[in-house]
Amino acid sequence: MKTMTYILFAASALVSASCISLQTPEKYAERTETGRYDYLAISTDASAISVTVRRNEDKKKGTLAYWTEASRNHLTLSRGYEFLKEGEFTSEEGAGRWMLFAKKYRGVDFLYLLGLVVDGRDIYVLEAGGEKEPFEPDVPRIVKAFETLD
Amino acid sequence: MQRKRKNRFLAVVVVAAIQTACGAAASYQMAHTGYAEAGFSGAPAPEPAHLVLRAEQRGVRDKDAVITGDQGGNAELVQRMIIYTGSFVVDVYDIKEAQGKLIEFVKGEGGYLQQMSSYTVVLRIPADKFALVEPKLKQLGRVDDTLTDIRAQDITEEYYDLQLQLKTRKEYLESLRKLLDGAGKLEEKLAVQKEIARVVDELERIEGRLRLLSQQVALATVTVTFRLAHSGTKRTFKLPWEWLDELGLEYLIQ
Repeated sequence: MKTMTYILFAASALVSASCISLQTPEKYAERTETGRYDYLAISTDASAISVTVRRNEDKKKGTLAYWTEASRNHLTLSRGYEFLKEGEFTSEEGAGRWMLFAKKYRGVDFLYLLGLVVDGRDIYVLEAGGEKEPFEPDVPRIVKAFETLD
Repeated sequence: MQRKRKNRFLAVVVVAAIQTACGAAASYQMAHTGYAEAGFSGAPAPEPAHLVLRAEQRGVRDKDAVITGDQGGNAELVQRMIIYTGSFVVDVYDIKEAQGKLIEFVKGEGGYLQQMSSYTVVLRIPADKFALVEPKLKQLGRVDDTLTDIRAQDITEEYYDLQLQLKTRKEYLESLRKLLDGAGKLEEKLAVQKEIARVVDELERIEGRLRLLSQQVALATVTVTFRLAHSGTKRTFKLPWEWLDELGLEYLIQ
């Protein structure tokens, strides 16, 4: 019985994970080997877009505002990212918030875009990043792609 | 004849002195006393026409204006003179980089760096750009709200009072110069010259104060102290959700 429950749980998790879809923006191509991510796309300039689903431990208090603030603090205070700007978007999974950060990575200026959508127990973590110069013009297109999260 | 002239001289001095003393109580009829007329070059951003406008010209909705007037009910609107100062403490990952970015931002907005030490910068920024500072600091790091101190000091009354004093003293100086031309005896001339020197000294002091106030109004003063986010001065920042550690370019770009 226990094994059965485990199999069912694993299957449902697999189905749930594979259900994540995002309209891949122009210049990017989706990868099938997604590694730690549920969705991964790479551009011709080696910029990347990913989506991961995380568990929202506190459905009531773990709001979009909470996770936005927590991830922003984490990135700026623990990881050395510089917060540049933020905005909102709406997807099929609900309202989302994006934040753009800058970081010098391996001696080169990079940009990192983080989008968050909180839907009950699920936190959809949308990430994108790349070298500043080629990536910067992609940002509006990627935010548009975030809106297609389903 | 000499006694008459002496009496006239004394009368003029007394009248002028009374006029000066009564200056503060007089109305702010300063429609023609702009910065240029006040005789100093360090004028703040608003043009003289903005300083004093009749109420019917400007309308009473202007939140930056204040109504002044004499006992005859000749009310006028004058622009409020406010000195803005702000003090902030910001936790950042890289102090030098954050300082550089802040200075660059302030220069871009027409301000300048006034003072700098290892952790603190004192900046001057045009008053109308003062509100942009805090959002910028929030981009650079975490602003410690408990230590934020923003002040607005209204110096409108002092400023216009000084301008009025300047005007009356200039008039007094003019009358003294006329008196000097008409003075016959040496002792009279010396007395007038002594009074002129005193009034000139006063005028310079008032002009200096007005110049300082104008500069303080035109440019807000911002003091920012940076703390290293990793230094443990406040706390070591760590959230318990492991997935947050997996965010970022370090994994994504691999």
